[in-house]
Amino acid sequence: MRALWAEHAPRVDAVVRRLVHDPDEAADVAQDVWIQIFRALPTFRGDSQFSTWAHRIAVNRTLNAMRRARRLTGVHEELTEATAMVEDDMEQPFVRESITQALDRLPRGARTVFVLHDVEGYTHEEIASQLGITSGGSKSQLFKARARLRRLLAPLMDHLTTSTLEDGYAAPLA
Amino acid sequence: MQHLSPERIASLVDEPATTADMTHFQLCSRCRADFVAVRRIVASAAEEREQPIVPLNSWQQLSGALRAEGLMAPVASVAHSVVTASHVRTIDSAASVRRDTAGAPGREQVRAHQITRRSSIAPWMRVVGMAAAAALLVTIGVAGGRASAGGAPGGLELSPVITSVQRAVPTAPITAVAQFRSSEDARATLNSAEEVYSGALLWLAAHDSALAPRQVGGSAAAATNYRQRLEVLDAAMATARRALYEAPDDPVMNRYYLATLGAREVTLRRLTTVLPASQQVLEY
Repeated sequence: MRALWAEHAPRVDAVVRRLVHDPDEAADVAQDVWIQIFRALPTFRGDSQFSTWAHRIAVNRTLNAMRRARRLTGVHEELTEATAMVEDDMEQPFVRESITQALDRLPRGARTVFVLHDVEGYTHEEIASQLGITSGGSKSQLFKARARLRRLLAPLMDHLTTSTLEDGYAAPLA
Repeated sequence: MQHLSPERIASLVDEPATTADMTHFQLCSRCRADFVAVRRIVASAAEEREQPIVPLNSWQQLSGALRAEGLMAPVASVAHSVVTASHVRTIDSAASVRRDTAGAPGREQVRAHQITRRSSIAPWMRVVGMAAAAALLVTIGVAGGRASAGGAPGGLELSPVITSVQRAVPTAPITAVAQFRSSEDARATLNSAEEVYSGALLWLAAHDSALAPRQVGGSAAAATNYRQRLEVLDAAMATARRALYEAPDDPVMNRYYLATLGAREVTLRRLTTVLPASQQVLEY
């Protein structure tokens, strides 16, 4: 068990940490995820790689924990467009922030969709099913999250973008 | 000139642009720069997926929680798991391996014996149980190898299997132990050997021609052989799991388990390659 944990925890815990804003809460959720993984281990039939199977459990368990936490704290943070609105007081530019750090500045809904789609590779349909929203809502959250990250990372990205534009600009697909 | 909205620009990373969007990009350097920046963010995010982090909890924390959930044996009952040398000795005897030990027991053996004697009866019995489990695992592994290498279906006769084990297990473990300067030295060697062993095992499971359809008389026969191997691997995994419940930190059993798990995954994939196009493995 220890060997299994040691091999996979760095990536399984990374998924949890990306989805959960608070480090202490993330540690609690990660522990819960691993308990679930070991509890379900006898049912693992090898239809996929262990890492893929564990990753799915991590995502599902983390999303459940986040829903539970919202209910307990009474913070009704629906996955609506309003949650992705940018608050002016959070618009402090910060140079050299990584995407992971910038993710902490996103509203929960936008952050969740961004992580699931752009980091973990889920489709909008899968995200919609997981979060109980429409795929259109998932897209909307994603584009707002990207736009917000663009603004948060502007000092860093503009420096990089300038050099890219000088190297040659690749237009979006028509 | 009205700029494209940030959300619109963000959407164009994976959605087609309209003619109007393209025209605007040609004229507006600001929106163009925004698009390049967003695309870079998305590319970086995908790379983030492969970035490991330091685990959020220590094994001590997690193992405490696992014990509380009944998923690991209580601390008292796993204390014996440090008696690695005695495991090796008992495994050998449980497998009825003839020993070629002309001299007196080595220091490691004596120490292991002393440690075992200091333990209470229950842990001793667990060691024997653990050893029996490991012996069974070896037996199953050898039997699996024989079965999947073209032996008679269900050919798990006890005597030939034990004979195979007798041949397979080194007959002079004391000499082998003496080569290592310390436990760390032995573990490092074990880790290194394990990587080679696992690699060879997985390669064989993926490439062995012995079970190829043309060698065994067609895809149906190959599928049967792969199923037999899966059954054997399942039995081995179940045995290893029971052993790991008793001694979750035991490095040898952990390695057995992981190697078996890997071989099972590869075999399952091989099985899917010999099934007819109309069939797929939904559950095994």
